[in-house]
Amino acid sequence: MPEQIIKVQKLNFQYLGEQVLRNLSFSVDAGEYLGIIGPNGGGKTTLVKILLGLQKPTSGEVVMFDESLETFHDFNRLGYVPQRISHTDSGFPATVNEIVFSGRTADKYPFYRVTAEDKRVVDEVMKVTEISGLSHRLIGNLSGGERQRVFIARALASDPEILILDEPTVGVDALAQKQFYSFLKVLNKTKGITILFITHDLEMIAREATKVLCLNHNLVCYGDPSKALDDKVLLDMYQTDMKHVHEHSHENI
Amino acid sequence: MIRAFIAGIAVALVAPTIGMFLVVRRYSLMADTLAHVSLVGVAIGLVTKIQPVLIAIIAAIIAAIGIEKLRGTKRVFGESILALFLSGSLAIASVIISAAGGFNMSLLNFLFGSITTVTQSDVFIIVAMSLVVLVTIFVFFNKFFLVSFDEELARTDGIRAKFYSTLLVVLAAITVALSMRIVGVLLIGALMVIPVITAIQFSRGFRATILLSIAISLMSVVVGLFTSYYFSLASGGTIVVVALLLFLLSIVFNKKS
Repeated sequence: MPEQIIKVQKLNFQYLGEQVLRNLSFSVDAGEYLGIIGPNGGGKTTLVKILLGLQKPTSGEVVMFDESLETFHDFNRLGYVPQRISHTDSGFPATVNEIVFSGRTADKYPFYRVTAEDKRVVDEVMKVTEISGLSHRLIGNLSGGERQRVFIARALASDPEILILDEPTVGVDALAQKQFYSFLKVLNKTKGITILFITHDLEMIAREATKVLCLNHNLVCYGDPSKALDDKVLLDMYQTDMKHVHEHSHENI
Repeated sequence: MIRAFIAGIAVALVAPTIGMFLVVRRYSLMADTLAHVSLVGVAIGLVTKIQPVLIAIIAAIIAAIGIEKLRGTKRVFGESILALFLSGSLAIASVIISAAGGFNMSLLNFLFGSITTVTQSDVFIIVAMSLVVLVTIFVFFNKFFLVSFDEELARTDGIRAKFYSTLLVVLAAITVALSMRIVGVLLIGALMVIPVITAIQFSRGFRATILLSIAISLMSVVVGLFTSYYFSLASGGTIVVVALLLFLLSIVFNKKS
């Protein structure tokens, strides 16, 4: 039986008196590819922020690698690719190399100097993400797709066991998106990295994910995408007829 | 002159190093704001006859922490907070100065910088505190870099982003108060910002830009101090004019290349 690496129990989160997350309970197994979908403002990013320790839940419990999130500090085991890649400050004078290294060395103790092992890992993740040729370019001079790969390389540089991605394909062209999805699949299959992927792309979830979590403040659905994403669920979440998208999604499975 | 050079070189090393973090965080006006707060410290120091540089450092640190706290509450816009502290402290300083009946030359020296009035104890404080600032930046460089690039990303790496943000502005406060004797309250911002934006024109990485900005700052301070000494000009103004010329050169150079 695969190990449960994230366990969420009766999770609630309130912000300014509004219930953003209501009584969520689910678990994520090691090696899973979990797609998280839901309407804007439905609590997807809040859930991810709680898992990353950026926000504290109002009540409930989150267990990460068998340790309560309240005492968990080993965030190196989690890689995070943020939503705002396309909004990266284009004037920030840092090279690709410096950004990727920051994923490995930023949380190290004072006076930490880069080791040969750090260099090897960074070289490897840059090769895997096909950005070795960009290492001395400034981050602001890259295209959206290139920046996306830099942020993935940065997240992978700490050798994470879980990779959390918050709509990382926003502002990226269709070809780059396709390449990106195949790359994630390779990471998931060959390296066994657990993936949590927030997206609005239902087709992508139906095609790539092993499980889907539908969130609209409540947990609307959770399970195998081919079974969980039925018309009622989509109507519950988006208050509109998504039948066409849904059928199209299944054609691609 | 030797005293001025030692103090000037210490300031030339530390001002652009901390200035780089302010510039990339779109906080260039922080230096000017803290400089005006330092003026309150100078005024108090002159009234109480306690070392004005030390009182200025304390005042600037208190203000820096206050600015970061206010920024964290998000109740006031970032640049409005700076305007609040900048004009507020100038008002307080002018009240103290007028109540004390004015300080004439000593205050003018702090406003525009004066190499001839730098004392032995000034040099000691400037060199010691510059070392403290430089060593702190060296020790926490990776954390300051990431916090400046993206605070949220830093937090997801388990870094206490708020703490390091506050530490950065505290270091900026110390730097501003130190630089006051050399370039003056009204021109400190320029020495912290101009060498950095000059270096950024050459599109190198973060570390390379810091090293280049230090080189530009050293050149500005050395040439500026010599010129001001031999032509009896205000040291701060001369240093900043040299830095400005280097900035213009960098623009021309980059256009050509």
